[in-house]
Amino acid sequence: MNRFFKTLLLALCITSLLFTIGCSQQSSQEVASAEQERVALKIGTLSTFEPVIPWIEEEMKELGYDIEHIVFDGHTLPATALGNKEIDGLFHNHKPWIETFNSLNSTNLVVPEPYITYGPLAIYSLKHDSVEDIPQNAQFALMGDPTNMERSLIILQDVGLITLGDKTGEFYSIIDIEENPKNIRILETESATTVRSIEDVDAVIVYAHRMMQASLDPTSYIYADPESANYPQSLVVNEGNENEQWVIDFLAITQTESFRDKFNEYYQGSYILYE
Amino acid sequence: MDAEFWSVFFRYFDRVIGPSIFATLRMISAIMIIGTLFGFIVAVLLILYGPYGLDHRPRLYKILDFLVNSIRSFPVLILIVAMSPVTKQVMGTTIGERAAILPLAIAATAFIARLLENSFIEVDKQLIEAAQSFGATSIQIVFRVIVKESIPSMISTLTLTAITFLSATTIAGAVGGGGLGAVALNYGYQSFNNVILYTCVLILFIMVWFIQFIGNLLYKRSQ
Repeated sequence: MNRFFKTLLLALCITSLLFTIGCSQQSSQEVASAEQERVALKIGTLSTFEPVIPWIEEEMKELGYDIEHIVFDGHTLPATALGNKEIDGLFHNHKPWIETFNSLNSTNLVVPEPYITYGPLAIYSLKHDSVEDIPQNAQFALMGDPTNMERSLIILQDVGLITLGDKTGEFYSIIDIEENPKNIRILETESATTVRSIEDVDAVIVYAHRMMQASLDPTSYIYADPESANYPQSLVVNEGNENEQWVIDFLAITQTESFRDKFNEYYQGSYILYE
Repeated sequence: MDAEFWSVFFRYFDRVIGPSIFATLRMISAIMIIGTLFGFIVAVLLILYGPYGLDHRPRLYKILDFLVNSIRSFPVLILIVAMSPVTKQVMGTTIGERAAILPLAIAATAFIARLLENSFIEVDKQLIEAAQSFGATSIQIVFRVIVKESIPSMISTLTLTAITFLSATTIAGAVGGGGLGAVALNYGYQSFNNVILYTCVLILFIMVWFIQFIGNLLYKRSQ
């Protein structure tokens, strides 16, 4: 028992020591940046765009900004942190998502122009070369969550495979399918696993980025949704900050030729930069 | 609660909830049949080869014990995705109901094996010794004494497993298995449709209640 308490005490000492060191380091950093009159910025992101931030970070350093990028692991986390002003900007969620987030929470997040990029949602197939080739009773794997399901069903309607009637619920779902001449069978999957089913079904509707993650060609789609460009993923800031110099500088860097080259080389067409 | 509400509700029921009830029932039945069969065999081997076993074989026991422990250490969702190459080989697909059944049945096998082993161990040692003194063989002792004595506890074990794996089937939506869990999440929670969400919960509640009812009934009969 005595030994147990000693170990516990030791563990507590070490933790508190580490904590103190951690805190003091942070404060000394803040002092240093203040002395040089540099602007410290915190940008939140998720793993998808994590590689992009260091490219911007480098360029921003020369302009007198020190960017610290924080990688979150949930879609709502960076937006929540930005709403609480714990970070200065985020680069992950698309604009319609941010607008919904604003309406559900009391935040005023804005997406200043020029926009950076968008991820195409498209039909991919390893078995068929075009939409016309899709046979009777073909099986489609779609992302099962309501927003993606709605967009995927609209794509199926756009290519003429199904027609949708009136919306029954908040979103279009399979119960709203009115005509289905080819008797397309729809498999609802978890959005992270949809692309994995590509070998088992006739076609999938996924984001190009998922194809890249699965080591498949993101540009090999048989139909890409033209609506995708209306879902810009760009720098998001709090309202009132959109005209600040750092925001203008940040976005200017994303428009440079060297940035575009790096971006396109890395994302191989799974994310498209706005012209 | 006007007529329009009900017509929408029945449309959901007809095209979404109804099929998912059958999907859930098919999955849980398949899982329980496969899991009980193999779980029982593994449990008998564990009790035969185990440290207090009639035919103690430490090495074989350790291998079996290790396998059961390894499978039991996977959270169900992780087991489903981690096993997908095996699922592809065995079932020919990595998606849909069939793809969900294999990993869940394997998880159920390990779960049932461990619980049944525990019930078998509880059987009175004196009974076994008595049977041995009559010259009964190991196989006779296992089936005529140990299994027979632990039938009530086997029934409660299987009831418990059925309810545990009923909730595990709600995870099958991850691989496109459908079922009530996927409907509750996609058509209910994420679509802001509480009617669908709680209808699914209510159906699951009825299923759990029914399984427990049958379990209790059989338990009483077996005593």
